[in-house]
Amino acid sequence: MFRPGGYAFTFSPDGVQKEMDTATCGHCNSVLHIKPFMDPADMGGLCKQCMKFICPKCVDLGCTPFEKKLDQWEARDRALRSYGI
Amino acid sequence: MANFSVTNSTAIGGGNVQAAMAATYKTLVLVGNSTTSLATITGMLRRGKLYDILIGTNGTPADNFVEFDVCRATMGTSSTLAGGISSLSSNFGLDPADNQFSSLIGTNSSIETATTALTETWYVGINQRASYRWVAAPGSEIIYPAVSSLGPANGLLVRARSAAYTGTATATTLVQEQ
Repeated sequence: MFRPGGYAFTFSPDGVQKEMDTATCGHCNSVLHIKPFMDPADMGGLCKQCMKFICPKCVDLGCTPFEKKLDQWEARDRALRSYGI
Repeated sequence: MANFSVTNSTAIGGGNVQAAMAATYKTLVLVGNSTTSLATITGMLRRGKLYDILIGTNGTPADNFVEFDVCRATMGTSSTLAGGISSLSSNFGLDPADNQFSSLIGTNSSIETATTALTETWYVGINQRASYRWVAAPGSEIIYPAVSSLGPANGLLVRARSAAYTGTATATTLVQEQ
């Protein structure tokens, strides 16, 4: 995979058993294991608005980058705490 | 941005003993913000990134299926129930010159209801004999937000479960606090 978002490997008592690239969804931040020779259609896709890899669960849900979600969560939390909730 | 290594080993003297696995998830490591973070210094909530996970089992070898996951969670206000070891936070730093961990750390949660699991961000199923490691590329880490317990998800849990294996599991996580 070109520019993977991470790398995963399993070890068995016989040594390294399996290695694979991973990708992290730019919308929900979940990690997807990319199997060798995997059909690109099963990987999710590339969001053409934020140009980030997205997982199958986030396809067709619109573009809300995870960074923006973090900012929204933190703004909500600051507001609630300022109200004394 | 300091880096920390948090494991569910009890070698440093804190936390609960490792819990036997069951068909429901047991939390091995939890990191995140909570009211404990706010109590350290008012308003001191910080983002964090989980960038390396190493998991395995330390029971009698056998061929069983073990599932591990990382999920977003709302931390309870009691770090004691969750196996909180934040008082030992100076023990986790990878660089002694860095500040200690300011967020909540817990291992081997004794009461799973002290946290509320929300969404799963990473999941893997492996043979009990196998170990697994995941390393994130820069920019692809699993991030928890700088929110208090009021937030939708203020921390991350590394959990394990198995319907057949009833021994204990291990987890080592590397965390970067922003």
